[in-house]
Amino acid sequence: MERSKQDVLFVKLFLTAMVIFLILIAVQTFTLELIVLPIWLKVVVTLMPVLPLIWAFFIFRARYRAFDEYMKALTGEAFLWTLGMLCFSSFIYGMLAMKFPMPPVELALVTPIVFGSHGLIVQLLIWKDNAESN
Amino acid sequence: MQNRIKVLRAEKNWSQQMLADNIGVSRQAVNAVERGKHDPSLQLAFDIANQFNQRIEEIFFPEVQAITERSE
Repeated sequence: MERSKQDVLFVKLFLTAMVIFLILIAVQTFTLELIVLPIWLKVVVTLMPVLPLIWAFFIFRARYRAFDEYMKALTGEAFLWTLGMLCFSSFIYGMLAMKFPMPPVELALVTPIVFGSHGLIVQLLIWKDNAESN
Repeated sequence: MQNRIKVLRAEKNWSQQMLADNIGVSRQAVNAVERGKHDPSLQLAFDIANQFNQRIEEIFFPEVQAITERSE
């Protein structure tokens, strides 16, 4: 019971962070398009959506600390896969970019891709576990 | 590490989820320990043993011991 309450709280907080993120993206876009601002304020408005992502990171850290030992190990393995894929893909891109003209990569997409990939890999590992036990 | 968790669970007619709820871990953790895929911490081993009112060494035993017992 306690565990499911923690899960529900995590989902609520995480979704709240994501909603705030989307709202701030909208605020950022409209503000920069419609209002003339000094440079420093433009920088502040541009970086506003980062705050809920940092909050989401701390929400996830709290959840990770509440995991049991096996889920911690599984989550760690998923991070290893995510980190490996990120490192190798960026290395491959960098190597190719040194020798060939390459299309530009939007660096802002790295964080959501890492978050999403990690969640997907955790689910795949759990699914593999369940499949092996049947 | 080998163990008798599946047998003991069956004797009590407990599902993995029921055992997991009793000791406060995920079903995945019980599943992984039961299949010998994850070696539990001493605390988790104590928690599991307590659920079955047995000592840790009556439930868990190392691979070498398990192979020896099987060959006997």
